[in-house]
Amino acid sequence: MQKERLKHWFGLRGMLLLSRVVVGMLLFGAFVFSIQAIGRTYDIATGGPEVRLALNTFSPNLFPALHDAKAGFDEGWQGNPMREDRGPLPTLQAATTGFELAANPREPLLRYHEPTPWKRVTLFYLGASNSLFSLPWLLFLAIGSWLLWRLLLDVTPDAPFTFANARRLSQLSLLVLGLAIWEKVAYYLVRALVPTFRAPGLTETLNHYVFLNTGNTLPNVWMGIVLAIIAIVYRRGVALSQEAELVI
Amino acid sequence: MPIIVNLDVMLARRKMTLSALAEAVGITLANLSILKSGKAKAVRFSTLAAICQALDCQPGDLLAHGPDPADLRPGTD
Repeated sequence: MQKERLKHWFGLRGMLLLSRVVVGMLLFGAFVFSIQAIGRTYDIATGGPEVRLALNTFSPNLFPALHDAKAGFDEGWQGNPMREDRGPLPTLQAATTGFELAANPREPLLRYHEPTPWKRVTLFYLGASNSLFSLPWLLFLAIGSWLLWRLLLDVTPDAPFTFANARRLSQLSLLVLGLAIWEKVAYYLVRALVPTFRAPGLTETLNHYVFLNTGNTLPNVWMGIVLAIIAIVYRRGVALSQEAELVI
Repeated sequence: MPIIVNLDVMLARRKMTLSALAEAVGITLANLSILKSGKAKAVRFSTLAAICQALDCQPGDLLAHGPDPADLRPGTD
């Protein structure tokens, strides 16, 4: 009796129940963050013109691996010794024309005045804030939780494999892969929106080093590929289970 | 499907009910009904052997082939 009760709570049924509670909380979180985003948008649009952007001055924000490989090749070609890190800010330049670089315990911060409200709001939605919020993150939270919620409602211990769930897994992987592509597009937009400030010691303008919080909050492209593989295997599992259904 | 299942004929000959056969063979009544109505897609050799044992018959007594020209076209069940 005790064993049966343990099996009930720690078996598939218990796990499903627990997952539904967690995903339900995530869905509620997406709703709360959406409302909070409306308030923040109003604050940013009507508030002061100051914009604060986190910088990662070790590599440019787009295709950093290519940049590092090229820099390493160039140094090797010129016979220079290998460096630990390439391109960090040597010293923080304070209060030069139009912008300011502030020392942050974790990363340098670029501060400047942006008079256009829609540019400030766009930067906020792209993920240029020190909070978790960005539009892709909210979309991931809302759509991802909704797909997971529907998936968990469909799964029962008696019938775990359905074509609808295989489709939802594929949609989830497409969402993750789509957001990974969007992150690159977002960096192009940041380069267009942020003025071209220059700082000594850096080869590119500072808008090439702006770091969006989506780099920490969104799952990366490998997660999308793993999900896509799981979706394909799951779909095959559904086909096999349906094939075996009428075998006596 | 050109395979005809004559389970009902054999059950009538042996004067046995479907539920009694299900109990003797050890498969569910629902699965045996699927087999009897000809809806099954495949039968395991072990199931066939168990039914033959319970009904004291040969597989040929249970299954027959009744070809339909429509079934012989490629790409059909």
